[in-house]
Amino acid sequence: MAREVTQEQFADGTTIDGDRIDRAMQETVDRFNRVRRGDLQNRFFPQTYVVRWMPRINGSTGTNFPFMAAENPDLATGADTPERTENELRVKGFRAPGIEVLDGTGSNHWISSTPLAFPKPVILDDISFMLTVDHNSLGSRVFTNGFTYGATPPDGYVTADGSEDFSLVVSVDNPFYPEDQRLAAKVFAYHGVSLLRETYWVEDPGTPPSSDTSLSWPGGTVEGVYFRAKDLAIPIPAGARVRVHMVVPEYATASDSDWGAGTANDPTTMQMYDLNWVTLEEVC
Amino acid sequence: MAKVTRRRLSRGNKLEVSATNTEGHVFPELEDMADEFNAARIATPQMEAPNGVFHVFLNLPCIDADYMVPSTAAAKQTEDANYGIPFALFPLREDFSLTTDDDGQVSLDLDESVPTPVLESVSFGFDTRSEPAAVAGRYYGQSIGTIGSDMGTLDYDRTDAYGIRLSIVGRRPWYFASTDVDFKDSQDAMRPTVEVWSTEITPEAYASYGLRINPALFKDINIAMDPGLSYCFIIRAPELLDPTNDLNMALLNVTIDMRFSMEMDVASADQSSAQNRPTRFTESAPTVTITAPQPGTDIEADGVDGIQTGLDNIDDVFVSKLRGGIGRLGEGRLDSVLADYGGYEVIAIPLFNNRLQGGVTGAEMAAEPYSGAATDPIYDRGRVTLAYPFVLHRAILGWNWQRWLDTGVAATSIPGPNFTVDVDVSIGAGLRSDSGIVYDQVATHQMVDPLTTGTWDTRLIDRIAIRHSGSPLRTATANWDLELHELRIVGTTVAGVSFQDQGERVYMGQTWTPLGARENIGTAAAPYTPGAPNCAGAEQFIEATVKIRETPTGPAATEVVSGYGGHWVYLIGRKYLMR
Repeated sequence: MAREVTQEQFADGTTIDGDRIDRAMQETVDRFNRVRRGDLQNRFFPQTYVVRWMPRINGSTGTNFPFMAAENPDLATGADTPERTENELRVKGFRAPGIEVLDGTGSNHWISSTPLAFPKPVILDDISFMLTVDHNSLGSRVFTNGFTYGATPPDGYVTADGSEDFSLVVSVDNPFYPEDQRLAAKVFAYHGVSLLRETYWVEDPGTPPSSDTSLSWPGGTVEGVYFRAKDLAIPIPAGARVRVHMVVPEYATASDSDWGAGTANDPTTMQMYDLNWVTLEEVC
Repeated sequence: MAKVTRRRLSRGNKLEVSATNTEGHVFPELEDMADEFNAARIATPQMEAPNGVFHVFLNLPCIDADYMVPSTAAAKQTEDANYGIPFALFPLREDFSLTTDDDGQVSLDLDESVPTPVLESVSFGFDTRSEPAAVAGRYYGQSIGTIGSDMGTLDYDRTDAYGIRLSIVGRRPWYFASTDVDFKDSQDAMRPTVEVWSTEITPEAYASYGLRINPALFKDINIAMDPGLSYCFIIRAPELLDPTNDLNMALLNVTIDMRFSMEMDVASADQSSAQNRPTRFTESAPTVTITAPQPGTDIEADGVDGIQTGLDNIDDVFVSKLRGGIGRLGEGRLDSVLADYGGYEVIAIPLFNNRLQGGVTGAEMAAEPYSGAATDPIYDRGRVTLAYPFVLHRAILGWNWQRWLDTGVAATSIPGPNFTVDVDVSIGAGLRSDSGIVYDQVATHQMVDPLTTGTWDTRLIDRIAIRHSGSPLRTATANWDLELHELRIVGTTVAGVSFQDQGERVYMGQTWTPLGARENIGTAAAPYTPGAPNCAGAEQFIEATVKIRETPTGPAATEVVSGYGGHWVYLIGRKYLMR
């Protein structure tokens, strides 16, 4: 029984006239000649977003950019004290065991925040990050994070436990109070997960296997953290201002974890960063 | 044409049917519809929403106050304060055709069948730590060249640094320019010739409590782009640099998201030609049957030749939704009726985009990762998770010579004859496995000696000059800042699909066991021998790698090895409706 393209129904033994048949055919042809987007079983195109960089050599003179400290106002030398601080913390909802934000103990978080706005609704479908270091067999490694706690781990952990201190947060600004990050909607959060559960491999494959690339990588076989969350189906409304935050820890002492501490052993330079996310967007 | 037409039937007219589908009422239309379904010919002219969407997303970790060369208050108000990112939206292979006129002038043949990208919106944002303040750059409180200690901190009174002009400019590529008519090697011939879109953001957008315009969204732009032009996104933020008080600010995590719409197209050539494609593609069309009554028989509602039965059979297709596209794991659709389900796609991978000084000179080669001396090569590598099937049609390198204001060792020239750049794009498998990573190379290019024609520009598409002066390039009359080069896709040469010789397009995407068998993929160099792919249908990521070196001497300290903000690899191809 046809119900989708026309409401007209015909059956043997009932009356009929040309107008009804004509209406049924007009509706059917109209629908066929102008297929609605909702008629398509698959009507979304994916889109890949790429954020990545290779930091400076650990310990070299330079910056942590684009990472900046988590708390505000953090004034520049000589800058006037502001009327007020709008967001004492830049990002809502991140944590690393053993690091208390805003307590002035020397530990901290570093945040890289990527903002973008969507004019039409999209679906956040997939997000992945790679924290890549050099293979541990290399004699002179540049990127060295082992993603474990050190000799003085936070309470509740022992040395060599996988560190649970990296956060990835996707937030959407509140439409009525867009600048108050306390009111932002956290639509995706990755934190409190042992990074050793997310490694590229568990059994070391050793030296690079056969490769069909013209350029061999001086860092050897890839090592580090690879995390991917897929089939997320997180709706992002039209006009939304989305911020994708990567949060790395900085402990008070370098012995706390493999992330290191201080400018000479800077946590933001312990690995390379590859951050991707995929949205689905409807045909238009 | 997939649309159908029909004869009107109104009360008082004689209802006619025909089993031959040439005249009559009702059944010819139903048979036409069934034929279109059965042949999978539902196309964009009959769709309410015929366009796919793609974005060109560009992320720059940092644009500091030293990104430009002019250092005086007056000079930095000129176009020398431009920062540019080149990109292109060249047609996919089916739509790429070159013509040569009687004068030998080559041009891109863009007829009405070539889909046109339409710029719908631009999102521009950066990180101000969620405060109505400006972020201090490396040189805050110091003259340029002396790194201070305030980087990343805030100055609430310096939001005037964020007076920013944005524009998208375009030009006919150097590849098409005529030596005689266009003076193609002159600097003027390398300048953008059209401004597609521009705007100016005033500092007030970043200065107020409660509501700031960051990220800024410019929508409903609706400007058609010319797929035959090369483009450049220009950022001009001269007030980052404060030559008077040295309150030098920075733009961090700059994100540019250009959203385009473009008509969907037929993807069948990808499924029949692409290297590395699944050997078994399970797409099939439905069987919709319409049976018209024979002449002389009663016209009925029910029964196999009834009007209601015919309508029901068409309705069933709509009830179960019109199918088409390719699933996440490369599965074709059973009962697929769509002809047009391919969409244009650009994946932009930045390389050397966050260096100590913004760019790299010969003086800084030794401070780069994996390098201990200026004579050592430097590397960068970016990875992209392959979350859905993608067919690579062309790979473009956006090379960057843009200088910056480095008062330590100013970069004033480009390296010499031994300067070599290798770019490689591969697909890889083996993440979260214990067997290691395997790769298949999909595109490659080597450029040697920027000063010599025929070694550096073998696959050159365009040279773009976005600044008036200050280019490190070669002569007083030909200074450009940006270049577009085409990478060579692996495999046996296919004629007429791109600017230079190219291998066949390359499918990439994860799959599952029943579709794991793949067609061969060729090598990068002659004889381009095809062989079974190393990834064996399990590719998980794309990897772009660049290696720069000048051996045996190394570049001079004053030579630009990598321009400010680095380079871009654009993977242009086709994606598919998937959900």
